[in-house]
Amino acid sequence: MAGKVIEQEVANAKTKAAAGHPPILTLVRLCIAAWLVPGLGHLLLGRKWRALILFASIMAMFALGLAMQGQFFATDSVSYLQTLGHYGELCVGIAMPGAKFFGYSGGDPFFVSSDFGTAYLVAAGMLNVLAVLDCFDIAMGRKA
Amino acid sequence: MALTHFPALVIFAFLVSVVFGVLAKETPRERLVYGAKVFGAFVGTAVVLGWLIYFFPR
Repeated sequence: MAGKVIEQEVANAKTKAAAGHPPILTLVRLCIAAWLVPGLGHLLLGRKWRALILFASIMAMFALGLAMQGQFFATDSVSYLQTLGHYGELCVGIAMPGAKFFGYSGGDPFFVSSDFGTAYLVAAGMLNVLAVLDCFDIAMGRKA
Repeated sequence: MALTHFPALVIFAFLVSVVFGVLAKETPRERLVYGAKVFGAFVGTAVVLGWLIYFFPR
């Protein structure tokens, strides 16, 4: 019984490998979509529930970061860590420029929860990077 | 919104655990178990480290 299941899995893997991966342009589009809106890549791949959970979790983390007056770092900072932080926050996609557009000033470093908020903002970006990589793996047939 | 350390830690751990669980495992049960383990590891490690540094002088 177990042997048949394994044989079936191997056959499925071989079929997937033989089918090859999608065109590079499709992969790039998918990854850009997944980066811009957390969960959108999974939605395009037909993983609705996974997309919804990722979107809700990552956006909740980002929104809490904003509510706690987390800082938006800039690229012209003297500190490399802050420059890295800027790119980390940018990984959350359209939410960061969106927050700026709707009047978020970039945080108040003297607010009591500001450091937590900054950690939330950067972590939201990093989680979205993981979501983009997961989306890429699914599209390549490496994951279900 | 002002949060103290512990609620901020718990909310952070919860959200990260949800994402880790969803991304790392395939079945709902595996996700739940893995997410719970990650959550416990986050909170447990923070509490243990918090008590360890309690004994260091300021």
